[in-house]
Amino acid sequence: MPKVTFVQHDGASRTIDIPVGMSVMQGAFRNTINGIIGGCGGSCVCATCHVFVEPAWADLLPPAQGTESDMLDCTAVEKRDNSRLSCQLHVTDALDGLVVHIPERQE
Amino acid sequence: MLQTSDEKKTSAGRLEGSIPDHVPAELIREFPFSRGATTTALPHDILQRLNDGPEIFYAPKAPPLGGSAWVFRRAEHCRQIYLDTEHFSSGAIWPFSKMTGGNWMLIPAEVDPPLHSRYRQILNPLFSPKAIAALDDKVVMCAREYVSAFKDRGQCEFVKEFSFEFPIRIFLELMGLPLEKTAQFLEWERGLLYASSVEEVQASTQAVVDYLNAEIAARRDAPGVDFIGHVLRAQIDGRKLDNNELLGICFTLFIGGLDTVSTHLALMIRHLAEHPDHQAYLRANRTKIPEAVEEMMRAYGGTSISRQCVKDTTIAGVSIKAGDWVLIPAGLAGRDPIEYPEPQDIRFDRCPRHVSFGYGPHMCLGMHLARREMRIAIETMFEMLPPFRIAPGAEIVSEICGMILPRSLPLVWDV
Repeated sequence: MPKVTFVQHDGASRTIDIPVGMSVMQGAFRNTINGIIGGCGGSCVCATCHVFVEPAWADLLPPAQGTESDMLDCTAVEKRDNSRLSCQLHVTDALDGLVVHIPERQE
Repeated sequence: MLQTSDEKKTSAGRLEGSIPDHVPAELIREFPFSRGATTTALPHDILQRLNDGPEIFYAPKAPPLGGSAWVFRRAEHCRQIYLDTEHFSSGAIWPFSKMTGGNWMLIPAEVDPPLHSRYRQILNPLFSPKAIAALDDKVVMCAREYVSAFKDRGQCEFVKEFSFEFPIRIFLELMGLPLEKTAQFLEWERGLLYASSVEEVQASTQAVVDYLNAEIAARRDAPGVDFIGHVLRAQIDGRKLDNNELLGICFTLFIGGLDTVSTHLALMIRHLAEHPDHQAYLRANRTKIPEAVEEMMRAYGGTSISRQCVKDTTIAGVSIKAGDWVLIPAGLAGRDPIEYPEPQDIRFDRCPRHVSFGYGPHMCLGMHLARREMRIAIETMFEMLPPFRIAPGAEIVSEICGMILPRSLPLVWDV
């Protein structure tokens, strides 16, 4: 199963297995990763599952589009080039080893 | 929140006391809250007793309208329903338009996907974490103003002197409506919440509708830099929004952010007044206030949200048929012992994933603002007042229907 590593704002990190097809947010939710709220359950309306994708991985991801792109303008911590909403990132085998950084706050 | 006898006729599933054939007798339970009911007990203790019964039950008379509905008490099931817009519709879940003879709907609350997201996209930027964080100073100033008015007195009636009016002031400010209207909105809100008759509720609803319609019309040619201006400028499929859409959005913002913040804030302050150890801990650890607010939102959810099943489905072995109504009382989901062990215990470090703001596409648009308002109100109370407690001998009466609402909350502190 692909592994995804979450790096907290304070540097602490944790790696979890996320099944192919599941979103990074959902994986974080199931494993109680702090700092990813995702209160809307992946409906892309709350902007509280914001992550910064490790630059090496950013190019492997399909770009943010539509609602995700709009909602990235709404995050509590200002978006950067590698910002994504983790509810819109679906795990594939090619993403095994993905590293995402969790911003200081989501609200 | 409120009920109308007219609503009984709107759907077979809502007929008072009617129980469809597919409902097994062993799943029928009385819902302990109903129209006009009050209690001097802790409302959530009453709700929590339902945990002794089935996970999903059928109430012949359920809030908010007194019709029959499936009631869900497991947080997991509530999330499932909120996400499952294929089987559960949000259409016509509130009575306001119908009771005033309108043909508008609450937008985006009563709009199903895919149209829902188009409206939601218009409003999301107004209520985003980023936009709301920028309002902090205004909210703080407003909270200080209220506490200043009573702090030297050693006592206050918190609902009347703070929690009822505070969200109205913020709402008027955001909408770009004159603050002098505060007293008027207060009266309308009271009419919606505490009315003893359907006519009174209709009259208050109509007054709000008329006022919002007039404001929308007056601003059409020169929209301001406020929320009403934002929706007047907004476009959907390359066209401006029509009158019904504009009213539906403005009314939703009115109904969504006033009594909800009032009631949860009052429930939280009540908890802190009745639990001096919790209050002392939070006073000494102010950075824990956000987590405490989340835990109290879990334990004291005050709203009940409806859905209507539009396509037969089965949840946890229970057959739900098209036409059936569904009720999700947040105060019940927050006491789910499977999701939250010892749910009656308030633990500020629990960091619960609660469903008191809903879940899924309709998740509360104003939740970031609501959180800020509640956090700032609690911080301001701590900052400006010594430890507060319930006034000796005071009996706290709570309305228990679609909304759990303390009628008054008399507090005292040493001066």
